[in-house]
Amino acid sequence: MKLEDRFHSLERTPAPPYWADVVDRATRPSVLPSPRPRAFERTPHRLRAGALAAVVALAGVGLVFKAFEPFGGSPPPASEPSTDSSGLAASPGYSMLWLCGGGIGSCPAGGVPESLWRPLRIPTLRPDGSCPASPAHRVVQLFGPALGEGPVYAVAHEGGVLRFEYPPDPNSVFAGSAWGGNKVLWFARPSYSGPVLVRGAEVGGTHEVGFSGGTSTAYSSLQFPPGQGWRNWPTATRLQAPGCYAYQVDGTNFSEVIVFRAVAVPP
Amino acid sequence: VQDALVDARLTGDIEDLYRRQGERLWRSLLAYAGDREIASDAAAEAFAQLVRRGDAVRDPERWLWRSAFKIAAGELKERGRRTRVEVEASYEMEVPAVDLVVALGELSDKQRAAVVLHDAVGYTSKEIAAIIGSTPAAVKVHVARARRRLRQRLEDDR
Repeated sequence: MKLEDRFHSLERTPAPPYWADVVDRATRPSVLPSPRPRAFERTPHRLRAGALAAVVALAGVGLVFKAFEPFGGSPPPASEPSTDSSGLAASPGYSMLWLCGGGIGSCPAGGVPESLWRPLRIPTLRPDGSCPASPAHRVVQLFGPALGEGPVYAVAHEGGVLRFEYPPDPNSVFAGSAWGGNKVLWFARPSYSGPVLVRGAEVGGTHEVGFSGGTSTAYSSLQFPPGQGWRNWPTATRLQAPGCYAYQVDGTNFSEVIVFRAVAVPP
Repeated sequence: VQDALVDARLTGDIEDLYRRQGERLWRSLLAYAGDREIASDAAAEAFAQLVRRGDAVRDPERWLWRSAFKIAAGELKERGRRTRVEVEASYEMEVPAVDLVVALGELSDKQRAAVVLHDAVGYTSKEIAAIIGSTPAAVKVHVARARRRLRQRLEDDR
């Protein structure tokens, strides 16, 4: 076989779609050190200088955090609810999302229907006191191993453990908030196209679970609008203490509970 | 300032670039790195950095390819290897392609990048030189030596 034919056979290798990952990376600040920081340092000197200049320029006008805010969807309220206290702000509905399902565009007004606000069913710790964490499994090649039985899933962090900086790093998007956090990408199978409500609470404890979609404000719930196809939503889960936690994910025709462990790390 | 960084129109242009070149970039990175994870990581990160830099990048396509290959090179260097190829023949990847990727792993970084960008992507020596940080003359040498070694390695090519 000729060498060029081998290159042609390479062209027949299907490439996985990764635009969702691009959007996730582009729109979300790293609140924890990048797992591969050196790779980023090897970008051209000219680019590093350009990036540094951009950051300096942004800092100069006090808009560093503005730069990390949504580039799709409705803008956050002019005066956001403060989360300097330990309280969670009431979710404003779909408008808190950065992106509506992976596309770049406006989120619809409103929020999930009343019927999705079912009572929370938070499980208990195992008799030995261990956390009944949900196993991570591969749902589809498009996304990494995920937690949950579907049709809505949370992409798992390494080892299924959510690590979050607490107190929040003053240089992170969560600076000034009483809630630490880390990014969590949610996605839904095409078989479910309805709205989704996500809430959470500590398993065997009293700590709350907060959520955010691009700002330092921690909200009490996530609300995803209806849509088609493989939908995904970059979000952040906000916590104040390590432990065992559960999400309750409600849709029009399902209700699932996802359990995960969280570990706090110093900034 | 926010608009400059996250302009939706600009992002639309980059999404269009992804549609046109995303798969080819990923396959080229797979051939270069021999590792699906590195290919996916480098491709996604390069596109993401392009989105963040917005219109500060004058030639998005060239910037994309250059950054993606540099990120992949950094990943390979950090892992300290390129010899252990992660790809396996499967319904997704034909045996000749797997053999090629394995053989590419025996080339130097510059030879591998040069021959992939030339023979798989179709870039000229001048364009490749800009991407891998070399000269057109050196790229021609890299491509010629890479082809010779690949043909020697892939014996049934003769």
